[in-house]
Amino acid sequence: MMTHAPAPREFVVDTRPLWIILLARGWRLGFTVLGALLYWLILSAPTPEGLSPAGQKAMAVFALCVFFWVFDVLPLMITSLMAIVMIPLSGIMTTAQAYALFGNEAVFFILGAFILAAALMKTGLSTRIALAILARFGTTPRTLLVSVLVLNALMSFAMSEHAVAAMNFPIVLEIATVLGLSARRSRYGKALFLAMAWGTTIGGVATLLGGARAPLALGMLREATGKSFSFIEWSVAIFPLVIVMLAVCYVVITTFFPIDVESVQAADDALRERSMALGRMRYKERATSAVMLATFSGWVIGGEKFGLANIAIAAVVALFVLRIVSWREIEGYVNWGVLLMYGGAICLGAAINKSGAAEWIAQVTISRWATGGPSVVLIMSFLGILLTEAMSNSAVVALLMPVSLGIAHEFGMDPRVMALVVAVPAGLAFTLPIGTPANAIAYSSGHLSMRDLVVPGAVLAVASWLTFNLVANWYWPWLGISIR
Amino acid sequence: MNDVLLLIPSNRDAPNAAREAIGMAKARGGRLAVVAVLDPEVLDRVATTLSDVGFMGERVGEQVRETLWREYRTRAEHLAQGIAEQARREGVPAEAHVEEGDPGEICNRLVPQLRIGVAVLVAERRSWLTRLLSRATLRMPALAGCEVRVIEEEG
Repeated sequence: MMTHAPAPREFVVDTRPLWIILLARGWRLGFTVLGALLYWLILSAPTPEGLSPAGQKAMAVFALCVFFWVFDVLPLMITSLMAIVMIPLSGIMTTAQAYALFGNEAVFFILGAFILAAALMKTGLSTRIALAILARFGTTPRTLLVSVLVLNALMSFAMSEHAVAAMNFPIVLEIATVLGLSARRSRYGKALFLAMAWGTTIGGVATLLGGARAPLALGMLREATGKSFSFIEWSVAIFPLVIVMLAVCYVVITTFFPIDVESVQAADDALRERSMALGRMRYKERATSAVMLATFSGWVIGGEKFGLANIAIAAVVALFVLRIVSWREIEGYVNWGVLLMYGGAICLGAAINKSGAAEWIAQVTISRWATGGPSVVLIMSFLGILLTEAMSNSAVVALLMPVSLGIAHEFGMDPRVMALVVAVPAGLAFTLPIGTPANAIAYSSGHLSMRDLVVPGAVLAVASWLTFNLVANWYWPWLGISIR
Repeated sequence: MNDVLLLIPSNRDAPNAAREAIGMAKARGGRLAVVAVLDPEVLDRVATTLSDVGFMGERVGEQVRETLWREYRTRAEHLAQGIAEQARREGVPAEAHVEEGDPGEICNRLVPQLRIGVAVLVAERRSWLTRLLSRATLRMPALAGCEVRVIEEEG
């Protein structure tokens, strides 16, 4: 116990370590200057052997943007816009070439996917599905926990994992309240919120829709090599990882937080009541279901023929033709900054690859340690999982993808492999609230301490790295995807 | 000036502080005012994290914020009422309040208004990991003429 005399005026005692306080106070200005210095140093250094002058300029812009992305000096999307301006100004590309890259197919695919997800949320269809599944399967503590985990994963197959976490958060909170689970004390409460967050994270890597990282990686891949994956090829390659990780996740959660409730009858009753209160499906929900089914079928069957972005945008037009949503309703559900971020990142990636800088970076970095394809996959997936814990998932893809394409060229690997090796681990953020909004939402519930998230999250991160490498080494060759 | 003010956060149990505040009110023969504080800064911090790139639109972030606010308020009411009940069972007249705003300002306003003699505040004991990763600070309000006690609680 601490006793204090009356204080003369309000003051604040910062409880963080001193070095963090000092960093927090002047870091933004300091890092802006450091970034500019880094840019100037790379630009003014003698051009290294094997690197063209355009490549050196591209590397300077790349280093500056990565520095700003990693240290969050500017909002991510503003750093991307800065890249688009700096590329033509540095003479790496013409202005017309740089801005044309902004209209990449991947950007419009992401836009379409976001608007479709917004329609799912706005019409209430996604909530209806969530309530129906939880009420149907969540009858015992164990099945309810599994249902929360699997439901969040399944929904993240079809829409942004962050949106799924935000949408299902009130439902999980209601379950915790109805069951009287004490914040920070109940092990089952912790387990439910972790299942929600980690379910969305694991499900988010399964398709091109979960986190929009995959379309970004594919957009960069296509710009650099003209190659890509179809919607179904991507999911088939990742599916074993998702299945194994969901099982591992359940084991990790229940090992760290053994179930401490006897019955979930009260939650089951509440979920059924809420589900019943929604009544019959309305026109807008039925129409949204039809549009979503048609879109998925289009992506799976005709994705390569018609183009993923074309199908997504056509589906968006259908939403408006059928008067399911209005623009006013939709615009608040879409994070428009993501599009700026992705457009800029693709432009920067193309500049790095076309100028030859990516290959040069590969030669002087990873090529010195890696001995072949499997070790490249091991190192790059490790970097992806490590970086994504502290950085935006998209920034990790923007950072690693251009370099990975250079590495693939250096080792004679199929460049398509690098899209999987970068985009999937970049989505597997389990340990920190800042890693992904799903973790932040779960943490903000007040049911979890930092330790509850970090320790089992670290176990899961290691498990996901090992599983990813096993899948890459043993399963992908069956599909004709060679990492050697 | 025999009354005791207990200021607690909205979503953390504070058994040590509650025990101390009830004991002090009983010893002084005064009343106990239990105030659970909803600090908007905490939610703003969450909202900032949620608006990170990749998150769906500001409306979704706002919905999460509203959900959290309702939840925190419910918990705050429950916590404050629970401590007030406990105090009454021990023969101490007590009342529970939930206030929204900066804890320091709330404390400064309530001390003269309720003629408080002692203010009991809660400090969360944090692990090295939490201290390293979160930016929580401990606020000490100015309370002229009022004794301040800070009780540590498990994080």
